[in-house]
Amino acid sequence: MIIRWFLAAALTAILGCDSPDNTETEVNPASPKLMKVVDFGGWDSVRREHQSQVLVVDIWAMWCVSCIERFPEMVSLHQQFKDQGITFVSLNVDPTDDNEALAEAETFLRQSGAAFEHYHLQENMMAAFEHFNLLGIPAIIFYGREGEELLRLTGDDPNNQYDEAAIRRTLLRLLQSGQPEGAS
Amino acid sequence: MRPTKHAVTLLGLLLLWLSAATHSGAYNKVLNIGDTMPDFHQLPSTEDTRISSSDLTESVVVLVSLANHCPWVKGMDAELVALVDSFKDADVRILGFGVNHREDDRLPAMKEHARHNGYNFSYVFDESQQLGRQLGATRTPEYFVFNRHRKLVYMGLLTNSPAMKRGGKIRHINGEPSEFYVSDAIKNTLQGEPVDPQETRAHGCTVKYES
Repeated sequence: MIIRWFLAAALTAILGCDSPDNTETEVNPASPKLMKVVDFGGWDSVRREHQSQVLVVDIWAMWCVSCIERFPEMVSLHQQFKDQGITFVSLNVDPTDDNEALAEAETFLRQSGAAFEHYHLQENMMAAFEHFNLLGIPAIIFYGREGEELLRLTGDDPNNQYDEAAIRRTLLRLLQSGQPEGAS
Repeated sequence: MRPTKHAVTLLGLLLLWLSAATHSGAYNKVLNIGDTMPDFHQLPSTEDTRISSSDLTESVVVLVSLANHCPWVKGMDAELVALVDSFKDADVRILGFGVNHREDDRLPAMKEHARHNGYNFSYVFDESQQLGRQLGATRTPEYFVFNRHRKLVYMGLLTNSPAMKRGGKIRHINGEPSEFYVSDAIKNTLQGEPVDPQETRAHGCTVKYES
């Protein structure tokens, strides 16, 4: 808990995440990029590569304050579940031509200590939301071992919101029964 | 006789299912076009007044969910102020509302945000979050246009190109807007004409509802 608190505090300090206008970051252009760039087709390939595993996808962007605030939860959950056949992946949907946002995203991921795969979706943002049938982010989508979508946790319904406990419950149920509660 | 009874029961269940399935909008999980505007009572505003739904007597009422911290609200602020200005002589009322509990979205910050951005409309805070929940509002900004009977005629985006402000720069997703959904919905409603489109996929920050 202390580590998570420290991580969240450090990220907040680095990003000034309550003030999205603050875009000052330290980026070493020589550092290899953490985010691989994919389009819709490339993203389908990524999903196929992970088809034999349960795949947890965190869709996020630097402009999304809630995404930034919740990201440490994903890092913590990955630490807990990574050796239990569950693969975590992050998918960034910042505008591809927003170099500042992408540089910030790289710095953010580096500082987060998230030791899983990261992708940037090189598509129009509104088209991306339509493609995933999302209203907004953060959004967590769970895919089963056949590549099927099992469940999604989003903020798209005011009367059905999620938190870290909901993600954890879903993962535990997946491990126990192969199906999350409420899967359709 | 029994097969007929079963058929009637099945038909009833089917109609019930269809009715439930079509209750919400294409994107909105709570509200649908034609639904009645929720009542709200004595919400505190950035102008140090209190506003109730019964105070809104204009022919067209527009409710828009806002959040000060949200880059998509900041990117749209000038367009919203211009929208209000364009209808200043019409029988139209545009009312902003916020429901987020984070400090930078609460009333004191709302007052500062309204002053800084030249808000020319009232901006109310609903700590109970009931207004947001009853509207099914999940994004900031998200627009809801009601006619004189307070029936919903449009919900969703302001234009076909939402804008985000980060690092002092405003960036539209799809370039300069070319479709002005809210403005057109207001004009058509004032003229008694149908609105098209009636719903668009709202885009912006997530409204944070408390458990």
